[in-house]
Amino acid sequence: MTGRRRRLVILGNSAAALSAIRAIRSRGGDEQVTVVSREECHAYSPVLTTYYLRGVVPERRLFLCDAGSYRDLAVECRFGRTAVELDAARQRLLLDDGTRLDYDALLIATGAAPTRLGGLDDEVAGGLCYLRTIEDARRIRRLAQRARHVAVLGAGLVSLQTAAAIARPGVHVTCVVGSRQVLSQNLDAECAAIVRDHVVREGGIEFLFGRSVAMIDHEAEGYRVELAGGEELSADMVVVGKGVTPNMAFVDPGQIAVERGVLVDDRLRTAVPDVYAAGDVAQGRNRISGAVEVVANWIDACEQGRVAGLNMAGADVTFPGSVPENVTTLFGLPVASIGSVGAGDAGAGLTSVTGSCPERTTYRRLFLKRGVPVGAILVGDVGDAGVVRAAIVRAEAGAVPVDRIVRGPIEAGAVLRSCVSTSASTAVT
Amino acid sequence: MVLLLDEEACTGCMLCVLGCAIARTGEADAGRSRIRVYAGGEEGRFVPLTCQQCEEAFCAEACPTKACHREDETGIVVIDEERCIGCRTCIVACPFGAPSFDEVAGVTVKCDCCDGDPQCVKLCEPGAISFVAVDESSLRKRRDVALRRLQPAARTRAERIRAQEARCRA
Repeated sequence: MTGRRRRLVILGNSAAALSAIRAIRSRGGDEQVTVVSREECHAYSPVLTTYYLRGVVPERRLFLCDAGSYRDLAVECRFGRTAVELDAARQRLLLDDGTRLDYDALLIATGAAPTRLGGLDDEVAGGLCYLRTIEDARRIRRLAQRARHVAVLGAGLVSLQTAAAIARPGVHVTCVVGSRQVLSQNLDAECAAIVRDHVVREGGIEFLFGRSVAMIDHEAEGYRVELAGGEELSADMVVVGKGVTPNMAFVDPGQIAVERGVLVDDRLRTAVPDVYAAGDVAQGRNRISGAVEVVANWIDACEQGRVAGLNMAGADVTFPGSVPENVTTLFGLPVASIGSVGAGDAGAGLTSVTGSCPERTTYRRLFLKRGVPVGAILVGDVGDAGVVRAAIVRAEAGAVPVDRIVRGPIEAGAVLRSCVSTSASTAVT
Repeated sequence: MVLLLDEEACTGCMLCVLGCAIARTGEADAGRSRIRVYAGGEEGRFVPLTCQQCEEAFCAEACPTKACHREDETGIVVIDEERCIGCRTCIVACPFGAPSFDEVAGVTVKCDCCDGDPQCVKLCEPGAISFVAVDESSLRKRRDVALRRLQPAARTRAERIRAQEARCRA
């Protein structure tokens, strides 16, 4: 077998997968690389689907690759194929068309899919909208043209962006939210209230908080959404945004350890040698909190893919851990959330310092654990989000000008100064 | 080529900031400049900052539209304003705060070295901004960091101005 080209299989065709392929090729080896994607089309940016819904980006601009890109990277494409079974012991993968792919190293970068609403009549369930893929986006766009009353279930990033894209004069959008606030995974309650008020004022979107959906039925041309407690609302279109579930049905948990996602170490290796995972399907170390969790964002997916790809091609590179972060703009109001921000149950042990300037709708809050900054929420002016992120990632007690950051946008110079003097004094002592 | 910024030489006159804004937007609006000067700190120092065309450019890697990308011929990282959707992902990715959102244009902008002819260099009287080949700059940067570590009590402002004057005379 000496002299045989190594066979690398990449499962997925988005941020992590593309970064991995580029990293593999950057090493200059002659590996045979195969990309398997469940979608028929070339790689596109799922981040852009909400922009596409708003009409800001034409469909052709969603694509990150064309046929030439794959040719230039010398990869073999198996599009429209799904992995059905991974036999890690024999290093082989079975696809839904019966094809068997043997590999020397495999990357699981299958991403995640919207969590489906259960307990519904099949026909009703089939009519609900979710937003993840380009096909989902096309469908929402088509249906939204005729809709007059839209129910959006959830108030996470995707739900709010979708609601914002659909809402227009003559179209009433109602968000039904299980928790008491918008963006419960990204923002603390105080900041969420600012964002909610802005969205209500600018977009006329109605929120029903603390409600859960009991049943959805057909009604005339649309749907009747019954809420627990007896309230009802009628809608001709229902969009569900109840989070995502990693695509890992083909993984045998007896072979490869999984929890919420596929567990990876700091080299993006799974429990099995030569099988790696990266992106929204991977569950690894959170650089800020130290927790092992799925941190799904574009920046980390790119970086994880790069590290996994380099390692698959024979390098030994480590990933320093994921940093939760999100930046979005809702009706012109930019909102950035970085690190641990006391959302969900992660608020324990955090203190915070807040600064705000209501007349300019800016709000800035820094979260600290034992005096060290671990997270930030910036609303209104997010121009220094990268500088703040870098400060949090490298945070040492006393090295970050906390008061300065909550007062207003900070210049990189101010942080660099304090870091330079910190490292200089460390070097001297 | 990259812009090498010498904070020891910077006098904080802000001509580069205004010059950049005028050259790129036609307006003397410091908020739309692609170069910034941080004025502050205990010693009244000035820290000029703009894109350093990082070898591993987080902004380009993170850009979901690939509007932000490195140009093959020049090695300079640019943002294609036609493709940029203003999502600000690059702003979160850059630890130096180099990309900034231009409220007027509705897109994110960053220093692209004015197509190889950076205007700020011409305007900087103390010579704090120079446009140099990458190797030379990384060498000088490394040297400067080493110097600073050896000499943590940085020179006073007066000393720096004297040094600048000496340089200007030379």
